[in-house]
Amino acid sequence: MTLTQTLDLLLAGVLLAMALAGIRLLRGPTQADRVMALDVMVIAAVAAVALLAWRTGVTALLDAAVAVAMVTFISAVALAWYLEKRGDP
Amino acid sequence: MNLPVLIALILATFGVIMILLAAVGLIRFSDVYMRSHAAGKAATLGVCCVLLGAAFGMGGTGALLRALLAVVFLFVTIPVGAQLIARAALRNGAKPHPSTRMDLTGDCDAP
Repeated sequence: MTLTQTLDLLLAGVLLAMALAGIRLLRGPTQADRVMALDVMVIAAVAAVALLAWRTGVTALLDAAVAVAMVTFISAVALAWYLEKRGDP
Repeated sequence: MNLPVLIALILATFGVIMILLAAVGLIRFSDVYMRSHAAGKAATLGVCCVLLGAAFGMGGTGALLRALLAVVFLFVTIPVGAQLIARAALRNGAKPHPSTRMDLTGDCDAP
């Protein structure tokens, strides 16, 4: 198995994790469950971008991973703030 | 395939497995507080291992520096975000699973 094929397999694994988190995003009984599932999906997206950077050899994609990692914290804090303000679980 | 690439590949595979375990925990655990453990800890370890593995695999100082920046940032922020979301759920009255035992006093016999 070559390196490219192995990286494709790893990318498929990350995609599967995103799909599983998507199930929780759709089903989640509480709003906090949905926000948490979204958080895990974005984290999996960061991992996918890093693997894609390795597969293509484009270092600039790692910059994209850093940017997405910074955005996910802002979104998590903002969504938690709105959840506390809205008042239903 | 030389040795550094092999080490990087092992690191990335471990990271992907941890992210998959986090997603499975998100599906299988039974209330929002248990799920916050999967989202806050397993996913952090997984994505940091994947980033370090990708940086080692690509080689070069620039890639390693960027990956280290992302790793430090993610290690600080993901658990904080998960804790904030779990606290929001607690303050809004999300019920824990019935088998949860509240042990705030250190007395293990308390229900």
